[in-house]
Formats: sequence, structure tokens, C-alpha cells
Amino acid sequence: MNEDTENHLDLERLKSLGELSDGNVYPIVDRFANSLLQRIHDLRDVVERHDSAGTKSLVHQLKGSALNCGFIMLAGLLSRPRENDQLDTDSLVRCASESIEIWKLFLSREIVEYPEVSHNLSDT
Amino acid sequence: MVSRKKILIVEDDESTRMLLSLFCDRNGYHPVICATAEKARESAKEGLAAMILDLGLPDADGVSLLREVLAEKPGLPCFILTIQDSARAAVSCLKSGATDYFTKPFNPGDLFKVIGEAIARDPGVAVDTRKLTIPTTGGDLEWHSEAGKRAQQLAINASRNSAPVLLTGPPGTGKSAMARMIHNLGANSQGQFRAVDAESLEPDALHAELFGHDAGPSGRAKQGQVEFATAGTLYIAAVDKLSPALQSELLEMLESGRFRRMNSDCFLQSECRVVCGSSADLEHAAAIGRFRKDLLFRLKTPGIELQPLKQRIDDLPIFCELFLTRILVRDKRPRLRISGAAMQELLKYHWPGNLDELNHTLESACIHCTASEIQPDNLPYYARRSGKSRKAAETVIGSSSIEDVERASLLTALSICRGNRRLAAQRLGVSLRTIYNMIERHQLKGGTIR
Repeated sequence: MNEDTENHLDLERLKSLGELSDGNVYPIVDRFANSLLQRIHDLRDVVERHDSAGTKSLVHQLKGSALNCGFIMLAGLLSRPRENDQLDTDSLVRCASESIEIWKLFLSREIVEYPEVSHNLSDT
Repeated sequence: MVSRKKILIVEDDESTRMLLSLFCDRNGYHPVICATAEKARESAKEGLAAMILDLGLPDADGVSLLREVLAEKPGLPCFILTIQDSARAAVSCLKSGATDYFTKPFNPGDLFKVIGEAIARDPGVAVDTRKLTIPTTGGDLEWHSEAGKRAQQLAINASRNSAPVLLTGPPGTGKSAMARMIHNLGANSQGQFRAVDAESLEPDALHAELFGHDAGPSGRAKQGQVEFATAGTLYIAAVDKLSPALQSELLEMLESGRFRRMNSDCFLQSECRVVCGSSADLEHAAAIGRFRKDLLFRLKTPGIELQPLKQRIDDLPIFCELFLTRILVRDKRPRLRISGAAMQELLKYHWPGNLDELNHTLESACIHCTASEIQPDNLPYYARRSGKSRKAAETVIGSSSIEDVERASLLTALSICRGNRRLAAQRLGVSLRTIYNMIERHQLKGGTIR
């Protein structure tokens, strides 16, 4: 885990949530990670339809879950655009892909501590 | 098996919903999960201990939903979860009655600690104060004593502008109730009323409580009551107990609206209206250097002095009705009256503890009274024995016991019916003509003492 890792994920938060929940938080974060690319895809569709209200709502929702799940770089990207037209979904996809990769690495190390919750993780 | 208290979680995002549900469960509560406002409205009908609400719902505005739920369940601890750029909406929620708000990412430890404290403070079913049959602002009560009328008029005048107000008087004379009345009648009544007792906290804790503190190594940032009361009213009880440093901070805020949280160099702005209370002689405290003279000058215009209860004993029936109604609503008890004989005892007592003592006396009487009317025997011994104290009795009431009972009953009925003679007659079970005769006989006019 290097500096780039910490730019992507709030590791301190994730570890703290893991400790507070005996690892039960990890399947939830993993579920979020697995849904991420599809959610960004949905967001791109709404942006392309110039649906301003829909874009705002999806960005708001995605940013909230990213913050809560420790995906801080993604949350930062979602905070930037003031105008919906400026939302760069390609950057979001790139960032999300990298964050997911780092998350999976983090998860593989942390879940060893909580073997009893590993069966709750999805296969993807 | 003990059933767990339910917390309603209203959150449209699945991940956050699952996180909240997980930590709700781990903190010993039963999560009731809703993704939409429509489902939340339905679930809010259940017995709930608290609600966690995300503002960005797909089918409704979160602030509107908060108002709907609080209209159904007044006093329910409600916590807003929002992202930073929704902070303005969160402030709107606080003004609408939310208990507190948290920004994402939320810290489960902090969130459920605050929720637990709020539930502990309000363990029972919330009472809808709108259902009280008595006025709650205080501005429309018809006081009988000159002191009561004078204080009420000064409070009404004070409520019409935003200048700070100083309330003085012995302990238990109703300074905090008067502060709330000024808030209720004022232009900022839609904002929050917040009260801080300067006597009950150490200087640092008091500083943090009043002005908040910034995040330090030991914990998250905390808003002070000054921030909660923005656009509302902050009442500082025992203002004479403020340290010199806090007196300076308060003076600065009164003069410029600026204040600083603890551990912070940044100035924040508050538009809260400040009402201060003190039982001490502030003039003397200022003369001997214990209280800043400039702060005193800033506070005491206007100043309102509240008299001890024994000096406004004719208002006692009104206070009895106010306190009794609150107790009955709180305890979900049926209607309970104070008999004329018991009222006579109460009128004779000298009330060294003022309104606080009266309130406790009625609490005690309610516990001991199993019938529909409080009798002298239901009163604590000190109130019962007062009838033997001629000095107290003579200053308050005439010599004829039957007349005393009648006068007390009449005063009570007129107070409760806000001077309406017809309603008072119905309440006492006598004719309207009899009421007029009684008013004439007891030298009362329109429910007030001549």
C-alpha cells in the first residue's frame, strides 16, 4: 500500500469500520465496489440525455456512498463539476477502476482477520 | 426477551443504507429501513426511538419529510445525514426540529453515541405540546398581579426587537420560562431556542458548549449552542458565572455577531438573539470587578426583574394550571383539578423556592392523589402546615376560610378560562349571574384584581 493507494482509499476509515464491525462492513463496501462501474455507466447515460436533475441526483448519491465506503478520490472527482456538462465520466471510470483494484488488494489482506465474514462476499 | 428500540433509517443509497443498518444493529437498535419517502411515511407510524434521514430522496424533499414526521411524532430525535454541499439544507432541517446533523462520511461511533444520548434524554413517547389546552407562549396569559403584568409587558416589548435581554430575580422565579416566552413571541421564533446553564459547567466545557470547538486530535468538531441558535434564541442562565474570558467573547458576539470556536482562529458569524439570566446582583458584581461593566450595560437594556412568587401570589393559580397540565400530559393522566381547600393552602404558603418549589409540590401532589381532585392531604407537609402560619396567610388572603376557598376557586377558573366569565361559570357549575356577584364580592374585575 503506497501513497497512491491512500489517495484512492481512506484506509484509516476502512480499517476503523472493519474493527468496529468485526469485518462485517467489508461485504458492504465490496458490494459497492462491484456496482461502481455499472453506476458510472448509468450516470453517463443520464449525462448524455442532458437530464440535469437526474445527473445531479445520481452524482449526489454516488458521492455519498463513495465517501461512506472510503473511495475518497472518486468522491473528490464527483465534487468537482459545478455544471453537469463538465462531468468527465471517462475520468470517473478510470479512477473507479483503479480504486476497485486497490480495494480488492486491501480486502484480500484484511479479510484474513475476519474469515467468518468472507462467505458474505460476492464472487465478482 | 427485551425488544430493541427501533430507529427509522431513510436513505436512498443502498451502500449507506446497509452501513447504517449494520451499525444500528451493532449498537443494539432495531433498524427499520426505507429507501423512499413514501415508505418512510408508512414506517413512521411504528413506535420509533429515533430517525436517521438522508436529505436527497428520490420522491420527496427530505426537509418536508422531516416536518411531516415531526408533525406526527413531535420530539422524536431526528438526525440528518448529508454531504458537505448540503449543509445549508441541514441547517434548514435543524430549524425544522432535527436534533443534529452529520456529514458524510459519517463516523458510526459518533453518530450512535449522539443518538443514544438523545434517546436517553427522551425515553418516553413524545408529547404533542400543541394539544395542551393552555397557551404555551405566555404572552396571552392574563396575569393577576401587578408584578406579573409588568414583567409580561416588558417581555412582549423586548420580543419585538433583537436587542439582548437581561432577566434578573431570585432562583426559581421563571427566568428560563420568560426567556422562552420572549423567543416564542419574537420574530425569530422559527429558529431554535437553546439554553445553557453557565453555573453547571467548567470554563473550558462551557466555552465549548457555547461557542463549539474545532476538530482536534481527540475528536470531531462540535457546534456550539450559538450556532444551533442562529436565527433563534440563546438563553444563558447564571450569566454572572461566566469567566472573564467568556464575558469578553460574549460581549464581542453581542457587538459584532462574531465568535470563535475553541482551538480556532477563524471567526464565525451568528445572528442569534441572546437572553441572559442571573440571580446575582450584577451591579454589585460589576462594581467589584467580577463582571464586565460594558457587558452589563449591553445586557441590561432592557432588563426585566422577576419577583418572588410570594410577591405575585395572585398569579399562583395560573402557574398551578400550567404546571399541572404539563405533568398530566407528560404522564398521560386524566384530568385532575386542585380543590378550593388545597388551593387555599397553596396560596397561604410563602414559597421560598418560588416556581421550582411550586412545580415540585404539584409533582408530589399528583403522585399522592388517586382521585380526580387534589385535596390538602395530597400536598407535602410544608404546604399543608402553612395554614397555621398566620403571618403568611394574612399577607395573602382574607380571614374567612369559606371566602378564601371561593376566591381561590374563582381566580383559578378565570385564569384557566382566560377571563371568560361564561366559561368560568360552567367550570364552577354556577350561573353567570353568580360569577358576576362573586367578582363583585371579591373585588375582581375582568379576572384581574382591582
